[in-house]
Amino acid sequence: MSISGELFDQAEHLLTGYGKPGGPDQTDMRRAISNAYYALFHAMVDDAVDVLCPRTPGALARHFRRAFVHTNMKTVCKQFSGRRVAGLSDTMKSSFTDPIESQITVLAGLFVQLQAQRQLADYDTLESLAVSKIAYDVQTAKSAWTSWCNMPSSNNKTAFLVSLLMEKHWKRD
Amino acid sequence: MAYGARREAAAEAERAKALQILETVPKLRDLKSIEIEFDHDETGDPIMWIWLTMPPERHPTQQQIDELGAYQDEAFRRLIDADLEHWPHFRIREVA
Repeated sequence: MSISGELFDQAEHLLTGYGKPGGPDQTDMRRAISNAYYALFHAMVDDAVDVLCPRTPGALARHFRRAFVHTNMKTVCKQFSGRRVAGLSDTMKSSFTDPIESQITVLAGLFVQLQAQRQLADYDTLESLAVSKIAYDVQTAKSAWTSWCNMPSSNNKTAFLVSLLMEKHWKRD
Repeated sequence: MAYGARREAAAEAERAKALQILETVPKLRDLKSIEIEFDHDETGDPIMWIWLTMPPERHPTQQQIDELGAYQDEAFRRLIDADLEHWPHFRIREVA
């Protein structure tokens, strides 16, 4: 199973409360939302590395993965989830064709949402998380991930993955 | 008008616009109130926290989870379509 699949499985297990009478506690929910975020992060990075990085030498991919920056990925994802691709660089705009598939826009939107939720979960210890919201966020993220995994290759999918790493550089030109 | 005052007025206008949009979303059962709080995310981008005040629920049913999700998704879509400066994020405040 992929790392993303394992992260979702663990998130779901945490949200059962594994027999606790009060259901999942705050720590369970914090870990669950963090897992969901990283499941999406790793899924996108894995696929982007497949598109961008040669298979040999093998060690290159490991280093290549580290080039992806959460903030830059969020900036790109905001463009897609908000259907504001007009804000992309000319290079990227010319690489997409309308309509952009819902698997991309939904995944992008959730990545932005979950990045903020993960920040709360991991850094704001006073935040009291609600089970219903965390459960929905995890379920929706898993559903979006499943749709993304089943999405056939397309020019838009490739361009989206490339933009996660390259848009920052092209936007500067 | 000073820069700070202009920013404040713009934020209040955006708050009013967001609340107006949220009024158009079909009501969520058990939703007691909605508040909007402006903030920045960890990268400095402007965001709005949309606080939904709800009764506490330690063991929500799948139906309750789905209803919350449907509300959140619809509200998010309408707010994004309005092209606001602050990116919408939802939080729940549980009050008995």
